[in-house]
Amino acid sequence: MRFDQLQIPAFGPFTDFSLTFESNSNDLHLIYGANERGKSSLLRAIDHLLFGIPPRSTDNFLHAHQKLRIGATISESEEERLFFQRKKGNANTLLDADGNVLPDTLLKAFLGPVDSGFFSSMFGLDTESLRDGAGALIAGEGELGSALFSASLGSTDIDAAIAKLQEGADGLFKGRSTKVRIPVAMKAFKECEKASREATTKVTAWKTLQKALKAAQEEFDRVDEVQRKSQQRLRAVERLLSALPIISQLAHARKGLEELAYLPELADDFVERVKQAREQVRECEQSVAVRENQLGGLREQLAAVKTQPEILKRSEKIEHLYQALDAHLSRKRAMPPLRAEHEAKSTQLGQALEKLGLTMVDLTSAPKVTTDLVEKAEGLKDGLAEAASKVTLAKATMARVSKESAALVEELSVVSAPESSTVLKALRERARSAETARSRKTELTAELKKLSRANETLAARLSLADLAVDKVQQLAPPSTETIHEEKARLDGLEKRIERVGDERSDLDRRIHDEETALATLREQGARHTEDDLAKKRRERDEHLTAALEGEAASRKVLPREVREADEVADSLRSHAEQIARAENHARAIADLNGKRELASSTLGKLSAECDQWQEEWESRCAAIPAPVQPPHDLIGWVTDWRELREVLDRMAEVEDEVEVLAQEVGGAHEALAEALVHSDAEFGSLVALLEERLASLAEATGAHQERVKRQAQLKRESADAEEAIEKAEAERERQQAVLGELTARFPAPIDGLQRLQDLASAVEELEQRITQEENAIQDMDARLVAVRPEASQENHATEVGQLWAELETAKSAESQAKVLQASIDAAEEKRSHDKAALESASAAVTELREICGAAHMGALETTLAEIERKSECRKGIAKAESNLASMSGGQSLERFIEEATGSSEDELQGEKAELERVLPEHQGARDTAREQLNVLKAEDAQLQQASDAAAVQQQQAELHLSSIVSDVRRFMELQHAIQFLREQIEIYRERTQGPMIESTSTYFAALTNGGFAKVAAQMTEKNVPKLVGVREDGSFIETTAMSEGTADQLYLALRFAAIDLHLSTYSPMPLVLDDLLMTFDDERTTALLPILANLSQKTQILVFTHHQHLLDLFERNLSGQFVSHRL
Amino acid sequence: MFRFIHAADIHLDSPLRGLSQREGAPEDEIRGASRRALENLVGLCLEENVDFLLIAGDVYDGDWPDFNTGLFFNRQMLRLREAGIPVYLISGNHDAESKITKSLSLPENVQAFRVRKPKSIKHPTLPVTFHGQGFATASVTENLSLSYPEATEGRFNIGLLHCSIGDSPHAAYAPCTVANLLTKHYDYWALGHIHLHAVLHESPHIVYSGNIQGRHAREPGERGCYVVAVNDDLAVESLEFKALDVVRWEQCEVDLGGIEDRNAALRKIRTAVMEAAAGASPRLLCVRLTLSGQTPLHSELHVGKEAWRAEVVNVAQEVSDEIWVERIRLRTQSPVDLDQLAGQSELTAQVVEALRAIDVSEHPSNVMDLLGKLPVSAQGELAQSDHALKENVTALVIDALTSSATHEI
Repeated sequence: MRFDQLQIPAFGPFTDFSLTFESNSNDLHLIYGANERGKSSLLRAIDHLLFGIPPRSTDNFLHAHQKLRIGATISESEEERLFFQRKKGNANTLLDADGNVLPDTLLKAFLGPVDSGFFSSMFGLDTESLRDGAGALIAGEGELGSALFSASLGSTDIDAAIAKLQEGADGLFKGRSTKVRIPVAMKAFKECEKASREATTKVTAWKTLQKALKAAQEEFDRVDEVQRKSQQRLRAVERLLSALPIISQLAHARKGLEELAYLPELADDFVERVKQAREQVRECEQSVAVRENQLGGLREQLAAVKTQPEILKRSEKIEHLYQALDAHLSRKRAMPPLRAEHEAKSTQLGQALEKLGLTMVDLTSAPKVTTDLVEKAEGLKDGLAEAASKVTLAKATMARVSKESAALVEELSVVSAPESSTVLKALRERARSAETARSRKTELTAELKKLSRANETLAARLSLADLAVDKVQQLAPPSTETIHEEKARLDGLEKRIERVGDERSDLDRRIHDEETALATLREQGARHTEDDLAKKRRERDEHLTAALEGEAASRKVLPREVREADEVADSLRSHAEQIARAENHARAIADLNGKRELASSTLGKLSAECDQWQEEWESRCAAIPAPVQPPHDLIGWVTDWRELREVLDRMAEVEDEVEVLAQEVGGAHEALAEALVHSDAEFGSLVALLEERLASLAEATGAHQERVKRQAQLKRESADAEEAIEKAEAERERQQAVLGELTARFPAPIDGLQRLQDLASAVEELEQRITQEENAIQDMDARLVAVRPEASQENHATEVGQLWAELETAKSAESQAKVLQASIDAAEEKRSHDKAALESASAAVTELREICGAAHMGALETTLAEIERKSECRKGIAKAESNLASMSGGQSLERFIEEATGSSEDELQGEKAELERVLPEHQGARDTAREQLNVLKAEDAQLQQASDAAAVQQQQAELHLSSIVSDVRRFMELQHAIQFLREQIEIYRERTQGPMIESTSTYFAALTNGGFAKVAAQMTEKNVPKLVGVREDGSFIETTAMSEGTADQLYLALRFAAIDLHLSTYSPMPLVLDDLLMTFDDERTTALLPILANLSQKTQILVFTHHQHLLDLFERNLSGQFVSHRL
Repeated sequence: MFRFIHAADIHLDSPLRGLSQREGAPEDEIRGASRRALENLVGLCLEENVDFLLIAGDVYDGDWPDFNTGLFFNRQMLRLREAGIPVYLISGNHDAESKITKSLSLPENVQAFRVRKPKSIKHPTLPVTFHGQGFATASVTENLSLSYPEATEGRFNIGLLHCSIGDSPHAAYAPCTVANLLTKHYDYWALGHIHLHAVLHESPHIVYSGNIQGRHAREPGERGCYVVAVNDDLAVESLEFKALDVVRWEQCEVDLGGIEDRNAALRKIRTAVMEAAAGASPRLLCVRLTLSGQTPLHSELHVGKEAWRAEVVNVAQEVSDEIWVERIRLRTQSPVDLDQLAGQSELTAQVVEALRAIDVSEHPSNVMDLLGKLPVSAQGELAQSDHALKENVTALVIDALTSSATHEI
């Protein structure tokens, strides 16, 4: 895009201002204006023109906001030109020359992807924005920044992905960090391994334990024996000491026994038995006396009891009367109400019969009125009422319909039918089709424009701009397959040439190596060969023969020949090894030379083949009006040519379609104008008029049709109502007939008759019940008299109560008498038993007295006392002997008494004291041994439990090990991915930073007049690239170390390179430089001017300045290549 | 007439391998798994009231030094002694040089065959003769079966042998062939060493009982012993395999081909886990999942490996608390068309091209640093094929490319 003209009717200080930019080969314009001439306002006007006037614009000091207008004519080419104006506002601010709103898309087509921000940063430059923009570029921001440093600035998504991978890897293992997963798991693993080792019972430990256990057991057994023996002796001494007084008691008892030897030998319990027998006699005497007293009392009680056998005989009847008493009384109380109810219902029945004029005979002879019959009659009556209701409703409908029909007939008689809309509808269809065609035509026109640009671009790229379209399409370049084949053929040839060339070079190197080795061996003495010796000897022999034949010359040289032959022979002998190796080298050289010749020959053939291919290729490419290109390049050319051909085909198609669409739109326009009789109206207005007419027509047609439809509907409603009346009347008659037939056989209305029949049944039931109750009362009275003839029927309840009380008293007396008689019988039996026992006990006492030898009962007590004393002596002997036997420790009693009386008590006491002294020592030794043994036994018992602690820890370690393996595997994967991606980004960076850096280098070298050779991107320690200026000698200066002017030159070079890159992809856009060169001295400015001139051939450049000397410099250096404008 | 049990490869107190530590894992279930399996073996002997038990080698695991292990074995053998069940065992390659074997006094009901040459032992009451020879060292490479004695006429001859037959992933110790064994005319060869149970020949029977407890994911399926019944004609009447393992290993392959949705993938995994769990119940199931098929989830699976693992573990735990997901192997394929991806930008084109020839044979320096610090046992486990590593790295790189595909560099 370029500005052809700026026209500013009202903006800032401008009123109807105009500036025209003529177009020539250099589109470079210097706009000079002293300060306050509106230069800055003009710059703002350009920006606002393209992208809108901001809401808070301060450029309203001369013209009000609503009157602000900025205009321009811009063009893309001779054919594409647009005049537009910009007004202030939120929307629809783009206007044509007449003030009509233009769509924003019209301007957008010229601006392409450039928006306000991009324009001001890239194409609207002053010193400040140049520096800011350069800063952003160097920081790698934006598309161009990325292009400058490619993908290595840490801001790309792949870098983010790497960071994410790194984060994952760091979470597993990171340098010396001990808090991430793998070190944590390794620590846990080691701890478990250690715990496992500690819990392990080694075989040696087990063996050691078993050995120690055995030794401890033996030691314990020994000390236990010592302790046990001492203990035993102590106990024996103590027993002997204890036995001495018992032995004395034994002697005393034996003496007493001898004194009572005259008494018969009786059992030990004899005295006790005598005592028991005497006690039994006494108890039996007391028992007999008690029984006698008891019998007397019982007999007196029995005599006092009065029994009533007469009453007991009638007990069953009395019980029956008593049990039926409540029912009897209840029945008597119910009789009066029953009789009253019977009388009331009888009276009610008589009155009802009289009311209906019937007798009881009529009633009993009439058929039974059932409930079903009554319900059926009720149903028929309801049906009759419903049918009557239907007739009334249908008649009302008939009246309403008749009235509405009459009104409709009157309306229709005064309204006529509307005209047909068929023609207008067809016209509307055609108009709609034409609108679609218009829209399609607009799309195609836009596409045509794009195709045209693509055509130009491709034609220029292919150098076919001057070739006619049909010629372009008729070109016949080699097919892709052919090119690939040829490429493969050429590649094959080149590879073979390269390979054979490499082989020949290799042979050259090997020949050289062999020759060097040979030369070295020659220097070391291997100067002769066997052939040399043979030759020398042959010469010697020839000279010898000649000398023998008298030839003087030979005789003269013979000694030298002999010496030389000997020297050769000696040399051969002394350098045999070197000579042998030299011969090998010589043979190898000859062999290699042969191979080299062969390789040279092959190389020659291949070169010829290659030349021949080149000729053939050029011949194949002759049909292309472009320089001959190698197959690889031609593939791209052919691809572009095919694309161009497709573009041309598409252009032709689109043009044809546009023409057809234009005809369709024109035809429709004419038809509309004719039909609507508006020949001057635009197509859109005609379409609107057509829609209006169609709408009014539709409205009229709708109202008429609505009335006709309503009339038809009323007719249907009238017919329906008539039919409903007929049906309802017929139904009423039918139900009336059925009802008459149903009630004819009854002497009265069936509902009244049914009530009478129910009443008669109730009266009859009451009579039956009264009779039953009276019979029951009479039966109970008869029973009472049967039991008690003198009883009164009026006091039935009292009489029965008295009978019941008498019966209870009689039963009680009878029971008491029976109990007393049983007690008397039992007491008499026990008295007989006690008397027998007394006799038996007395006999026993007498027998015992005789056994012990007492003469009579009076001497019995004395005899018994002596018997008891003899028994005591015997017991004392037995007890003492028993005690001594228990102390003897298994010895015989006599032996033990002998041992005890054999030592004096003092001697025994001395031995006891000594044993009591040593025994604690023995016990201590035993306890210690036992403790050691128990510890070892506990260890053994623990071991015998076969603990799995070590195995459990080993299992735990295995779990950690698996975690480690899993995490390390993951760590490896992540690190490989990170390394791979980093390598690839670096490779890409190095490969793709070229164009931007190269272009910047060219501009920077030109701007600095060669002061710097180029720019380069270098990596910082943090892997961040930075831009540096590189001098011819390779030294570099960072941007921060450059002077302000040089830095600005670098920034400008960067910007020019960026613009170059932009222009390679997008349409041109004017470059506006505002006093940009103020930090430039004349030398720098002079260096810049040719660059501007060159760049202005690609895009329009507007240079704003208020410096007169800049104008002078332009005129001096760019005469004829720029246009100056004065404000 | 009589019945016996044939077992082998107990590897007592050897840990289960390959299970990673994680929150909520049923660790108690796996502790002492080999002990529980041995208890099951003894329990089965008592329940079936067999006449004797055969153990064809590898009671212990290599150089495991804890004498408690031997004592535990003895305690179990004492249970059999109380029931009057004799045990005949040989040593295998794993317990040949075990200090436990050399130092432990076995109960009198256990007879261990000598290791220098084969020996024949007659059963005290049954018409059975046992022939066997244990391993003297950990690496016996000669064919021991050749020097076994001839069968005894009129008796049921049983050969106990720890050996390799045919192609086996196990080391070829005491290698021999079925034909070798048949020449001895024994009635039953009770073999050990191969951990997968198999009947190699019938009438006469040549049988590997396998190990009684799988030790890692490469030993899937049921593990146990054979209960053998012999009739009055001294012929094998029945041979029944009985599972003894307390932890079951399984490998499940789940084809995620065409599945695009995360939840759908998890549902499919759940179904596979449920099927595996049903077969293992009521034991703890340790399952290795291999996810395969071409799926858009390929990249997500590789990049978010940990998150996926957590979700899969959750799914497994929903099925049952008695499931431990040992490992998730990713063998999925990316549906991303590399040629199409390459067309997205110049950088991606370059990376895709380089990716085709990516070389992972040399590890980055920080990986080498880490490897140097690892326990030796971990280094052995880490041996991973370049192909698998390359696959995983490629997936990570493709994810990086696709996540940056919108950015034109």
